Amino acid sequence: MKAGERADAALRTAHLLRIDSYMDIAILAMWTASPRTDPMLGMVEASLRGGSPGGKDDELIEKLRALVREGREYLASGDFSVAMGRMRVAHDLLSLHIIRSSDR
Amino acid sequence: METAHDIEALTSGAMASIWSWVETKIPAGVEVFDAHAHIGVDIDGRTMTADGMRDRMEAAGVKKSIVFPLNDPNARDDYSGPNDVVWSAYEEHPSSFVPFFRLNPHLGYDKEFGRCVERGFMGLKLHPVSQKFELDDPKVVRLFGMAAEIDLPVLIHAGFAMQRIVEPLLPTVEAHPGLRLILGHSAMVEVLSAARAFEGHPNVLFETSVVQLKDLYELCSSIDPSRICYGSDIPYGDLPSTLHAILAAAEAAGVPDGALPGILSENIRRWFP
Repeated sequence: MKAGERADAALRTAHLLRIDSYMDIAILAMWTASPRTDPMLGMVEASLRGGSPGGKDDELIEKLRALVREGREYLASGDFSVAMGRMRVAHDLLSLHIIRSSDR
Repeated sequence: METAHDIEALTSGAMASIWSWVETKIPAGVEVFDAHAHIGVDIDGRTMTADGMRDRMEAAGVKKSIVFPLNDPNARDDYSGPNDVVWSAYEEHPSSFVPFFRLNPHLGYDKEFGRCVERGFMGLKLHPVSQKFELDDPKVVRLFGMAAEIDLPVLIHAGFAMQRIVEPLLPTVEAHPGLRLILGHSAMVEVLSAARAFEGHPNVLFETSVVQLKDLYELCSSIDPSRICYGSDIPYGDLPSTLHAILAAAEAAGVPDGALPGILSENIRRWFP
């Protein structure tokens, strides 16, 4: 089997849970004004690279990339509220996708 | 200082499609009521002015907001200065704001409690994390009793950094069944436990500001929607992203669209018509 071909529900869920963990860490870093917030956001962006197993969740991941990219940019420019809004929505969209997928 | 550009950024770019969806989900004719927002200055540097708050409400179509002080660095022992700032905002915009006052239960609070009630404040805000108290501290329990006695609603922070909510709060709720209590941030760390404990206490509302969708999904799946009220927690949260969270969670949990006017407005408006 070639790398990235497997796309069963368990692997798709694991992939999304990985991203969810990095988002959790980054958002907590933002809430607590951690000096490592920007690298944490960079880890979220890294976790979103390369697409999903079998490409089945790529539409969601594309939306998350845009929200996280803009969130990181707004935070760098000092606009916490706008940045946090994007990060919270990205996190919520991911949670929603996992919740809905678990019922299928 | 907040600018029009900052507010526009809340619904542009990658947020544009999210905001469009939110707008389609808000039932026609519903006047959204934000049950949790701040005006003033916080020790962490965050600020919000009355005008900034109004601008945000106008941009998002929100009609009314409960407002109270932040954890103000200039708070005197009795919080009277920050409470005055909120009162001035209310006097300037009485149709937009519902003013709550804030107290530090560790310090003598009787005089400021009386002053604010006399003045016409419509509720009390307590923050166990910022003011470092437990919900079953005798000074706090006494304060709940004072509020219950005059039918004054109380909003307590029950969100980030809370470690004990249901167990210390339940005896007070049972002792004062008429106490109108808003659980800020939906008691998120104990959300299911809180839904079970307070289900039979109709004067306890779960307020949704900056709560993650997965917590809100559990809330919406566990308690009647008539017990849920929307909040933003401005300036920590914002209106578009917090509206998205509760509307998406409610939809995923199977809350009927007919219950959305209650969550967004009517459930809290019953107390503040």
